[in-house]
Amino acid sequence: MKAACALTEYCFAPELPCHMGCDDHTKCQYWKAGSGADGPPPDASAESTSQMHGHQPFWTGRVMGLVDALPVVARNPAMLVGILGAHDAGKTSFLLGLYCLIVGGKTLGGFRFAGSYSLLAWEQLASYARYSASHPASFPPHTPDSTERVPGLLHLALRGPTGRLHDILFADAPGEWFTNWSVKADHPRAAGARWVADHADGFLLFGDSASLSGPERGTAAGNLIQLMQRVSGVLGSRPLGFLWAKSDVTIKDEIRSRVDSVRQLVHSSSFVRSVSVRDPVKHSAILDSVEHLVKLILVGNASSQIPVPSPIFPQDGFFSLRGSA
Amino acid sequence: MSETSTPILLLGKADSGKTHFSVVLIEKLKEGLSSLHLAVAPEDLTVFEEPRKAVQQGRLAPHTKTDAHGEASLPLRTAEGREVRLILPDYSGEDLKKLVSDRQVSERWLLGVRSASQWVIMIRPHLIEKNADIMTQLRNEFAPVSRDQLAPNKWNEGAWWTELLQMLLEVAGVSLMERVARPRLVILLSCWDELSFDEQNMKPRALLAERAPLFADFIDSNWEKEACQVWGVSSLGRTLSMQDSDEDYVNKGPASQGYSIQPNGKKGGLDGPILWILDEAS
Repeated sequence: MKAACALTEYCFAPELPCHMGCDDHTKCQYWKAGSGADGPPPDASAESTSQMHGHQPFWTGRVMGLVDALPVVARNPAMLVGILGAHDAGKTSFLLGLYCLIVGGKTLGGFRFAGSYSLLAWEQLASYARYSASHPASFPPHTPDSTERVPGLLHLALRGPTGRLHDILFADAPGEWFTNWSVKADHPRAAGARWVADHADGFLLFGDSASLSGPERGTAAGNLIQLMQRVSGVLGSRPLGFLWAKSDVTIKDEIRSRVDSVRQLVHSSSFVRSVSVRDPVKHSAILDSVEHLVKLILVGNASSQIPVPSPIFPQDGFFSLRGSA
Repeated sequence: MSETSTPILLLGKADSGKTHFSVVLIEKLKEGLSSLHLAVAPEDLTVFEEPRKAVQQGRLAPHTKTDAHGEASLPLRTAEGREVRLILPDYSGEDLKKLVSDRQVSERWLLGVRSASQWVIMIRPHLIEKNADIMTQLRNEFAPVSRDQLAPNKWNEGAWWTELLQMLLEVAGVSLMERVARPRLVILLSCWDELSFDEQNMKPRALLAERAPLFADFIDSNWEKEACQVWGVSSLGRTLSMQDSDEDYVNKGPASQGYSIQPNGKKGGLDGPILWILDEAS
């Protein structure tokens, strides 16, 4: 009989690591019990020559990379949301605002919080925005540029109105990646931006109202338009939401309409929202933009399913049997 | 007639009232103040002996020591004559906090999680820090802060419970793809008597949604309606001190003074949530 751990159904050593966290599974007391004759599991006083560190969950709670996102996507096809925009456009603040609203019990229309395997990361993000005796709240610091080729992924699970569980992965990347990419599609420091563009199921593109109304607004508008052009080349039929970030700041009409004209030209089926963390009236738009994007992604997924033709044989149903000949 | 054993996974942080709940419940059973009866005297109540003596003298029980894990096995007979065995654990709340901070489910917890299909969570609403962030309260002072200036991470209460349950569900092999029917979940909002008048008039689920909204959403999203209930409890019925005896409490005795608040808001006996658990555990 093949040796197996006494914790049947839970421990699959040696194919997988010891479920109890033993460095060497053969020294684990549950392995010893299982590989012997049938019998009850050993009691706690049985000697174990291996330290049982305990079971660690498959997620760290931190921002995920591709490898730690695997178990999440294994349970359910996850939606990847690409968050696009220049440096300091307000992308991370948007995510912070989203999480703080959810922590406060807000729902995204018919979608309700059902968990996250990045709670540690979300909490760290939110900690910037929480008031305490020792420090005032602030916006999160700049997401640092890095030579990583894949952005960190933040996970959010939502229970939808039909009862279905949706796993969403937000790709929060440094703005420099997108600025580089908008200048040169195969820029060596834009691998991460290309990764997002290739793999995302939907996008949220941020226009920074503050930089679009400040002294550098000319450059900011030009850069944004350039990024929009670059995105349009890869968008395909995927949904895109254009978000006026920091919309508590007013943009001059001419600049706003220039940007919006380009949007209508190159992202004709995109939707638009004005969001702001500072202006509570614009908070619901944060929730709504994510809800709307999720719905569009779901619709897109449904319609992209290819119907499989099946012949009908009215004379004998047996002819319709689909099996190997 | 064979006996079904109902181990309860009791989850609560330090000061949440786990020990007092068990101690007072056992006193109720002993004094016959429940529709549940002790079929015979429980074999071993050592784990609750010290707390019991304190409470009967009108004082708060001392904190359960860290690393102290024990349980009392209660042989009960329900009003319908069914024989059940209720297993009440006791441990230090610090041990539970370590589970999330160390991100490790030790063998004891692992086995406890797997053997219990009824999970009871004790949360003391009065101790939950109110959530104040820039989305809930806009203030004008915004100072750019570097990462190293940040205060050490303090979990939002709702997020902490969500993470703990996620870890325990994973260990128990429970998938969230469909809504959960097993394990069943009972949330006890403890020390109900210390809440404000307005709060005491709320239904327990509504109070949970107000104090720990993220966690309330997590359980609403993931559990079947019939598999999850939120109750209020006050094991002592009043505030006791660890040093001074409350003479009035001593005279009346613990068994008659605790109460529970049912999900519909009505007041009932402290054994209410246990009756619900045992009713469905058959």
